Amino acid sequence: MLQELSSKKVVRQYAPEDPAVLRRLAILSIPFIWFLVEAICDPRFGSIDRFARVIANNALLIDLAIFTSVAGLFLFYRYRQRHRLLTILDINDRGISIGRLADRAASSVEYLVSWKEIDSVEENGSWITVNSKLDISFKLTIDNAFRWLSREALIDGLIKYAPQADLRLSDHSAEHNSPLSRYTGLWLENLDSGGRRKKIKGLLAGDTLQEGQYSIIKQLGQGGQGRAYLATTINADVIAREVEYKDDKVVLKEYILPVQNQVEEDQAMRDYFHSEAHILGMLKHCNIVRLCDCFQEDYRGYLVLEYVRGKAIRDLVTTHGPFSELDATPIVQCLSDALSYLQSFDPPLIHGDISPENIMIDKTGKTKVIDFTVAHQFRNERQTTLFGKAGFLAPEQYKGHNLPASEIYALGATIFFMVSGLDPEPLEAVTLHQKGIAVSEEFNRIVAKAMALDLAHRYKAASDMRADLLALSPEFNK
Amino acid sequence: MNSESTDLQTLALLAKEEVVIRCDHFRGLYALNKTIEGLERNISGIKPTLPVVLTTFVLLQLFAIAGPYLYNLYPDQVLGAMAFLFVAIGVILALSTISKPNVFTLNATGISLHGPSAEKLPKKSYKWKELKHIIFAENGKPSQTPNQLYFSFGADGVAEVELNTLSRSNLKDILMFIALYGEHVEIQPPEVAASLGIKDRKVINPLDFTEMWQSKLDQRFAPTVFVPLERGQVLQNGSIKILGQVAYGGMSAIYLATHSSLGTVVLKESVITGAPESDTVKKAAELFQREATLLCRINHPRVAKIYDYFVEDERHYLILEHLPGRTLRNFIINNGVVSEAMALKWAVQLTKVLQYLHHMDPPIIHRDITPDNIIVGEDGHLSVIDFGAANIFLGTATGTIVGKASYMPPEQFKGRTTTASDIYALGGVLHFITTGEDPSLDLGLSLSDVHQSIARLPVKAPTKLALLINECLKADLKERMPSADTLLHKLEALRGVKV
Repeated sequence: MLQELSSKKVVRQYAPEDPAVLRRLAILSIPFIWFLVEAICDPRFGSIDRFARVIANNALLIDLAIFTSVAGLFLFYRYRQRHRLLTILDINDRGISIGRLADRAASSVEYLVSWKEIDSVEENGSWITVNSKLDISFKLTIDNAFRWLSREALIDGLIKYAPQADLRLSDHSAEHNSPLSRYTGLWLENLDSGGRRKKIKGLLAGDTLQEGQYSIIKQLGQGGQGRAYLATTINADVIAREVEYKDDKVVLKEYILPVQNQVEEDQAMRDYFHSEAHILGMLKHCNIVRLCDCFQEDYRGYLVLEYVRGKAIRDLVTTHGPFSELDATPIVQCLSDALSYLQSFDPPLIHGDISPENIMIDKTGKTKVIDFTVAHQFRNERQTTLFGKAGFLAPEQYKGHNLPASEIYALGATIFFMVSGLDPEPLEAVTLHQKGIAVSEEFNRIVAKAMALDLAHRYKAASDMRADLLALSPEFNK
Repeated sequence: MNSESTDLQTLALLAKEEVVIRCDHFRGLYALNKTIEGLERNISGIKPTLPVVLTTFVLLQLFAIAGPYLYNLYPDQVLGAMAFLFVAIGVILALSTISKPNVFTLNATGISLHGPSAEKLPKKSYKWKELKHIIFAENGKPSQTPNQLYFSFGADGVAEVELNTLSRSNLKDILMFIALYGEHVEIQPPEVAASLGIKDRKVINPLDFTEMWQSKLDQRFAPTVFVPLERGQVLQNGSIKILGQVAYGGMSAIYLATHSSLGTVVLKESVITGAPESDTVKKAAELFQREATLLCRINHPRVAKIYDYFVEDERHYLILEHLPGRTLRNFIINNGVVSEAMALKWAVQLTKVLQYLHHMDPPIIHRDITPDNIIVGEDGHLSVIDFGAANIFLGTATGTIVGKASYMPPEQFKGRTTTASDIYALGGVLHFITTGEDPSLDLGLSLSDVHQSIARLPVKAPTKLALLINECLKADLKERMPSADTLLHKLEALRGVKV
């Protein structure tokens, strides 16, 4: 059946010759044909023998005539053929229109191959063939086919409207010697930073920033988003205005900002940096690290932060073992207070990464929440990228919802870690008591409620949790 | 706003320093065509009145009588004359095919023209300010469905090109140069100037692709903890040269690079900036090494190959095959969702890839199948890129999950990834291509208020494919489609029914 069909198949490579051209050629040849017919058929010319004899007398001339006219016709035909190669003129929701535009040597031609009838599209060397179910194929040279419309446009159309079509196209990646098509290449050039950065490596001790205002003491370490340095400042007064005590040491948090020719001044590129600076700038709370300043230098952004002399909860737990309920309670109260402060904004602020790494306890026992890298203002929309440490992410975060209540979950998980020294299992509701940790019934209940998988059972607001925590041990609240 | 100047800047970057456009000019063909056309017009110009008919009749009769008579008297000569005529026609036809290309050279100073189109112009090169008009014409008259392009130089005359002999990119180049250097040039007709329509007012907008870049730029580049490599930097003693930055952020970067033997490749860099001797860093590096060795064994036509890996300057690199194309996410955003038949076709393609990976020894789990990691190639088929090795490696080093939440099954959050996790992600991708939305994880938890506005499974139309997708997207491992084999089997069955 299939073979039968293919045997009858018409293959169209060229637009048909313009009828006007054919007509004109025909007109030209009328006198010759007339004379030939007369000469051969009219008895008055004499016998065929005589005709043959005359031809023999002129053999050379006639050979030449036959040769030149046949050669001329052939060349002309080939030339016209090249001229008549088909092009894809348009791709729309009805189908592919194949043909060519009019010019002075021929009028325009257009065929519409509807999407439904396309059986397959093949690429074969320098030809691309569109096979229709209606026993017709269009064979186009690659150069000509994509004269007006790009290859992508054809593929988009085929994918969108002709799912039944069998695509046998070659992937050009192997063929192109430089597969950087012009625009990709230009694009990359466009993004070239052109060696504008002065420093490639990190800052070293003794390096100064902002014309000597800050000088680096050492590198502190780094999180996923940037390095942090300890530095001294000559403007201790400025810092004192922000934090209530005088201190010439600050933490500089560094971001390597993207550099590009084209978008150098594009502020949107620095969103990360600015959102952290912006959010921190809004905050003034004794349990939240204080932002003193921010600046840009050598395509790096720096946040000048209060220097917290202390250790992260995770480090404390690793070195000294888990906290007792008694030790943990005041810290936890401070944290819930900081969280309710964040949530008191409208819209609420989200820290986004509450975890034992990001909570510092200083020498005086003061608790500070640090690292507002992923902090943002709450928007009721889905975030597609998940960020955080597995055990500290609430179930709804896996679905892309970062809610204020997710912070409560993270806080609950942090408390869980503080008193047990264990990282909570992701997405599993395990209470402290189930893990055999000796804490009071009420403490256990609060942590379990904060870590409830179901939003309906979790604390609605950090202030509720704070109230419960404060009620826990009135003797701490003097 | 300064958007206009930005556009011009972009144009300046796009336009090459000099463009040479070489296009055929079917001069002989046109000449012959014109001649015959003229002849035909003369003949058809004679109205068939009675005297004309009579004269024709008499002439034909004379020809009929005189021809044979002449032939009888001088047969050789008559035949010779005829043969001569044939020779002449052959020669004319052959000569008519000789063509000379038109060559246009465009650069910052102006335009220079060589070839038949410019023969009548007194000069060969013109400054941009001498170019007065660009006219899109149809058979010599300005038209909205043009087939010719005229460059008009005021009193000096015009040069003309057939649009058929130009390509879209040629025209784009010409228009870009005019936009850049010839602000005064008037484009006629004004309608075409507005839409630059070539046929059926199809828009050729020289800026269409720059828009795309700019929207992408904000997403592709984020602050990093390390200074990304720059264009021209070399690695591995010069065998790898960076061509440019494709994306970066946080602790990793992706570059396009040339490799001395592999040609153009993608280079994926991961940087751990911890203390170099610390345990986590060492452990992560070891893991990276192990994963990379496994990945190098993958050899499937629809999977981007991982050629090699190396560590230089404490940065870890994977050398990946460069596949030109668009990401599936981009494709769906631009073209809308695909039909179910197409989704089914793609589903089979992707399932076959998973089947291949999962049947390797040991099975390879991709871990990060998302619409961003699937490429719609230049052949219209899908290819899988970007293995999660580097991400896993970073995750181990920092204890942080970074990824597309919607495409991760619950067991992956818990760090217990199995081959079925890839099936879940595949289900997510299929959900995306059929609905245009990222899937939402169904944990069977009641999430109140905020969540109700969000579309949930099942997929809009409860077709058989949708049911299969649903089965892939089950949060519970026991309920989920167990393997790629089963899925492929079911998909093929579905396809059989369809055909």
